[in-house]
Amino acid sequence: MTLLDFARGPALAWSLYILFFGSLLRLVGVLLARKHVDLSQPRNADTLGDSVRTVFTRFWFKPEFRASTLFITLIGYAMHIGLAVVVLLFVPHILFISKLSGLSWGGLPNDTIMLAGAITLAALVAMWVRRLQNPLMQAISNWEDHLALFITGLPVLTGMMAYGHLFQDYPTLLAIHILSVELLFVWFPFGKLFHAVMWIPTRFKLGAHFSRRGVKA
Amino acid sequence: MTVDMQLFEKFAGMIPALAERAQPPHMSDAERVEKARATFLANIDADMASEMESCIHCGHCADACHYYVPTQDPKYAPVRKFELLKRVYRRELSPLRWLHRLYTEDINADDLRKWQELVYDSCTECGRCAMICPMGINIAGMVNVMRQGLANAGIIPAEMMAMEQEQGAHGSIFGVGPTEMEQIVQDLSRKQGVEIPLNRDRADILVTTSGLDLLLYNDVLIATARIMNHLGESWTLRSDGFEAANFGLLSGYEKVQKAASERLIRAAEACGATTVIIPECGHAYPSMRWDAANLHGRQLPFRVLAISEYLGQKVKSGQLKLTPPGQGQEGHFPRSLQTRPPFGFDRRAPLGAGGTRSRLPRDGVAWRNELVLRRRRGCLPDRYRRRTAPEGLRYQDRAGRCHGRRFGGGHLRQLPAELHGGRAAGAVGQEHRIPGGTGGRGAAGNHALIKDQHHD
Repeated sequence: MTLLDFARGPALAWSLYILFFGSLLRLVGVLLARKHVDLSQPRNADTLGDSVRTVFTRFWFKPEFRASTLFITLIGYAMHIGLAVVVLLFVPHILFISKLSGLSWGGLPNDTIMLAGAITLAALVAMWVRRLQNPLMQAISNWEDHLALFITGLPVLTGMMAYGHLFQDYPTLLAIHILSVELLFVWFPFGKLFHAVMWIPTRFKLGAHFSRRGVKA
Repeated sequence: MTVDMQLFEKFAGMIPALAERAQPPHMSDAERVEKARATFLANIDADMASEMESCIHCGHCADACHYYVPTQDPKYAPVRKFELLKRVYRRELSPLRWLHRLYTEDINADDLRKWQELVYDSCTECGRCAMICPMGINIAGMVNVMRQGLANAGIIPAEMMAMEQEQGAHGSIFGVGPTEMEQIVQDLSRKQGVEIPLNRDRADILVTTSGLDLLLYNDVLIATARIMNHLGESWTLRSDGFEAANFGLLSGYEKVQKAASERLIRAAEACGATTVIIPECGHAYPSMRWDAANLHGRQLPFRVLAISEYLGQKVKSGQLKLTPPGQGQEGHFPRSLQTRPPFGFDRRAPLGAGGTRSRLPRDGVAWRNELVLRRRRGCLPDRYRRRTAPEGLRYQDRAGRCHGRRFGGGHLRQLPAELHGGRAAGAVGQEHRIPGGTGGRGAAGNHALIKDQHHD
């Protein structure tokens, strides 16, 4: 079995199992935790609308915080959007997903994808430098934060290397790229990358909490 | 607003002495850790679990924190303030606890002592961090659970412990129990010529106050009485349930918090009140409005209103008419009331209909930042670091002296009383002037300048 066969075969299968069951374990464990019944009289009993609204309003900061959060928010968006473009709109990725799921859609030209990848990597590096240099970020960061950035950036970097056939033969580079994606799959349920799932219930719950008290969250 | 500065100084001098009155519980470090841990575990629910699973350590919360922004000291980042709670969660409750235990350090008694400063002296639970968090994490709620854990571990700032113990043992603060309250109210009523219905058997509204207001800021009580009488309300103050300040909530000691709110519940039930009005204290309101029913174990048979909320309703309904104030009428409401309302984050103040507006949150934060900086630079003596609910005015007064400028001060409740055109509304044009101040901001016309109130 070649490295590529391993990456495309058992490694992929196991990483997907871990991704799915690990995520399920964490999500269900959190959502089914004990709930405290609130006996206070709500100012607003129907909180659904506000809860859903909060899920979306938190995509952008409030005007009061513009000065302090604009830069890192834009960097964050650059990273997330760039990553989404690379993952979902690169034609080989679409073919790969289609093979697994049967779903298919149109992609973007390769040069555009490379540009998106470069932006993603640059944003990740900017976030990492900020985490290393900024005294506040130094104080609140732990090894998981650095690992999350590394694990996110690695598939983008190896993918761009594979596309450019840099340093190694293509099959080896492709195998390394797939393995780096599988590393992300394996770590996703256990580290802070899981915020990609948790942002929805957490924002929803905060929206419900504040709505119940009549606060615009 | 007029303040007796001699009495004020006497109060300021009492703050350091409070620590000597505290009686810290004796327990081993192991007991402290276990009590804190048990408290954390009992209070973590699905919402909190979801929040702790979501934090990405982005640092946005620090940019909203009154303690971090002016000092730029990373230790004040709100995300750090609930770290012990998070550690216990990750090791004991998280679905991934089997993994987290491998690399998540357990808490110890030194940690608890170290975090005392962060959760008591460096957080007002204003909730501003929850407004900036991109993940939607309610950090103030977790800081409150941190306080509960530390309180049960006996690690409360000594001054706060003294207040909590006095309220727990006697139901009073600053020595103002039922007898003293009755005496003060009767004296005030007689001297000011304002009827204050005391200990009525039946009343629709139970008005609450605080020992500090009774002793130091009793203009506020008179203003309240004038308004209630002017509106023709069936209301009363009751000596068996008048103290709205809740040092159980402030300290995190739930037993005292429950006992304090139960007193008000019993008093309201005894007179058949359908409404209980809470003064401007930023913690008294959430304690009664949101926590009391849960501690009591059933829904409250009355509604709870902040005084500002009540006045706003009266203004909006047209029952309370205010003279348009022109320029300079501004109210700053406790931040706690913004995130634990009667208000919302949208800056709408209930008195808006009367021509006033709130200055929240940007200007309030600038003011708070200035205050924190001055305290850090030693302009304010250390004793002011122990911040209790009614200390907002003391901060202003002290900072005003330090700064050589006058910060207009006054309680929100005085606003309608002073702006109202009718005679029943009482005095107009009173201002509190800080001795030695340069009078940097003037009041407009005959109206009191209500500005920058902080009662966290």
